[in-house]
Amino acid sequence: MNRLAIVDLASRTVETEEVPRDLRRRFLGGRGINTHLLFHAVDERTDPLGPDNVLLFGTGLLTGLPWVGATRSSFTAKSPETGHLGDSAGGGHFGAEVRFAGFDHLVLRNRADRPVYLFLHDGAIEFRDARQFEPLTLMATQNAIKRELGDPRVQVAAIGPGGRRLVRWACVMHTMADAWGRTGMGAVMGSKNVWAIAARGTGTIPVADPTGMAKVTRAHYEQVTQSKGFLATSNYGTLVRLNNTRSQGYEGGFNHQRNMTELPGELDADVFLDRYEVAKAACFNCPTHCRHLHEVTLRDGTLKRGGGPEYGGVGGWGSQCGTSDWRTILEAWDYCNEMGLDTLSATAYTAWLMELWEKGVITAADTDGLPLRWGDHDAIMGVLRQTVERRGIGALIAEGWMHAARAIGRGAERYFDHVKGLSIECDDVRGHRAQVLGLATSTRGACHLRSRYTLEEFSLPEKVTEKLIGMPIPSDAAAYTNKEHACVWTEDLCALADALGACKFLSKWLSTGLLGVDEFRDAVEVATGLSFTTDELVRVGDRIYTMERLFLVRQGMSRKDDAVPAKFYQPWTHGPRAGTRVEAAPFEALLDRYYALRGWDARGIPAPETLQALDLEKEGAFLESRREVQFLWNGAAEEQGHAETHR
Amino acid sequence: MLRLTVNRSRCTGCRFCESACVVSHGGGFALASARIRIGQEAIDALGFDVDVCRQCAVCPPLDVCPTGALQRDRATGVLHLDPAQCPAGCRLCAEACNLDAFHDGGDGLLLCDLCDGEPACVRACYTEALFLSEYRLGERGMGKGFAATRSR
Repeated sequence: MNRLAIVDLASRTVETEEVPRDLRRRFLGGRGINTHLLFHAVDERTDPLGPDNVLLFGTGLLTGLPWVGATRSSFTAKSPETGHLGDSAGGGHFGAEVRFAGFDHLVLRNRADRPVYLFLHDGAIEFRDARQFEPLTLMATQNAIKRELGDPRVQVAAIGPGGRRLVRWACVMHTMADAWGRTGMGAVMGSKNVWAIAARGTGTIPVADPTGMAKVTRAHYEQVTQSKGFLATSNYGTLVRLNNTRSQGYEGGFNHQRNMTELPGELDADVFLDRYEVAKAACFNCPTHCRHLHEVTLRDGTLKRGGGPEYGGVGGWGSQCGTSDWRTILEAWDYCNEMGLDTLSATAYTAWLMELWEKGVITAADTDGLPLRWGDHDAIMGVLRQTVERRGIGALIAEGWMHAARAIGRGAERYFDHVKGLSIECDDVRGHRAQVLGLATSTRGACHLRSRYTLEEFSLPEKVTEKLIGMPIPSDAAAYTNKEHACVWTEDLCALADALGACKFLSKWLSTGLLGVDEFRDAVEVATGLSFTTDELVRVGDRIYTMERLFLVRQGMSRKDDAVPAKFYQPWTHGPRAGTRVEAAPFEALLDRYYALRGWDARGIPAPETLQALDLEKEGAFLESRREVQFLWNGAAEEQGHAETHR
Repeated sequence: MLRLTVNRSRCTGCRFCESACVVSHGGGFALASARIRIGQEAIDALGFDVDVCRQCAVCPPLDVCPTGALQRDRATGVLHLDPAQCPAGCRLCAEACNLDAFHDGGDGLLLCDLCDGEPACVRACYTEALFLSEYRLGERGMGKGFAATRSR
């Protein structure tokens, strides 16, 4: 246990080493240690789909332990979709099984000469042929591996045809509904000719204080299951957000041209539960069971079973692409899962193309004759099929939106809403200032899972937030005051959750009654014997975030990249808060206060004393040469960053 | 008599029962030593296989155990597998069981012991897929295996 395996795919050799205890103290595990490893393994010139990129897999420090929701694990690499930090966390049972098989972290180097899958079992890593899976979907591949290995308890993380054909926004998936979705980790896995990783283990994970672990788990279990947030997520999953965003007027519509649509109210969580849900599913050691299995009769009459859907997909194909037809959405959702495409990117790309069609920027000549009218079933499915088959408009977007925008020309990139190259989600958060700030500063590009201050939507009294965050946060979502504190608090909490393998749905990210840093601290102590104060643990979150920031700065990014889409500066046109928009001056002032709170300079670059306090001086050393030639470098960096992100 | 009962349609596959089982029996955290196991043949299957002893009123393994390692407590009706009495590891019990209740775990086979009537897995199961129910245990349920042969 506590082992890091370095796998050279070209020579098929494996070296293992112990994860040093001091690295654990600095970065815990999961996303934390992955970020550290990635920073040192690649540089600003590494080609994301070349053999020099590394694919890192990391289980959280608590993953696989008898703790509530000890489930998450992370894939990390340089992203082929955005050209910078790629990182994605996923749940299910895979991370836990990898630990039982005797590994905590995997580093996949180079490229296998032919398609293989890795089988991790009881301290060994086996290379096995994967060519026979060529005709299979992602789901069928997982089942075939379970059958081939003759053990139904084998857990598999695989890529589908999308990843094998190097679609730059392909994902890695496990079971029917667990994805490491964003930033194209499936394409990196495909570029390494690794089509799946299977794990099965009977090992023991050492627990420092078993009695304490049992006690802490019981207490946290009670806390989680008695909270209000728990009831919503365990019944509806993420679909609960559909109803909120619509009623409060921030569902993004028609590629964020509208903040409300007048589509029929079919896309409601209760409608889904009534008509399509057949079972609920849970991740390892989690009482929440936020995932659904559904069955739907498709247009051609076939009955199809699928896993999901999540809010991002339903809102993404729904209000964003202009349909309220569940059958279309579920068909698109299942198709993406079977092909291994990230549904958030898929919805954003489709909505973008539909707006380009509406504006006349693209025509039938670009799309292989496929009309891309809003809400059209054939258009939605056609875009996805063309992507996997790499023809028509799909051949362009398979290479990422930046490539597609360049190939299309005619100002197409102006219609794509993104932060740092990663598309924003369907909901339109321009009226929530901490969330807008989080979108701008998020280290992997636009993301709701590392920087969204979800609590902003609940209009919490200042007394509550002062106790929680240490600063009174105005209950008015549209206020700018003190929102930098809310944003930093969320970012640190999310970084910690990802490093520990904890699920954000069981944390204060979602609801004040759920688990926070104090609870994380208790669990870490009984599980590993590493003792932290709450402040020290928050500092680890800060360190992880600043480390990721250093990665971005090394890529040539700075304040200019902490920007939200231009559409956010236009006012909302509909609903109870019509007229709301992001105002440039208070937003820039908020960004200044955020940098100051983080200890970064006005360009968003971590200051020397911050790096010293976070023990990141070595990693920040590259800044020194750049600081001296600040002006020269700023210009060069802009150019380089441009070249990088538009490669 | 009490026995563990499973409502498969309520199981979400979280395996918190497995963890609770391992923790309640002490030792390091090896999930492989759980006496209850949740599995799924195919990822798109509906529902999960829950492999655990249901204290069957007639227990075929009890009839075939050659060493007396498997015994039934007359007062509680609970089946107990004593590893110390099972030197051969013949696995006849595992072969005879219709419910895959005997699990390989480390040194030998493991069987649910119902935690002295208050199973940790039942407490851990939020969806109440696991619960206790009453049943009647007749004389036939005491088996005709090693113990019966010896008393003849």
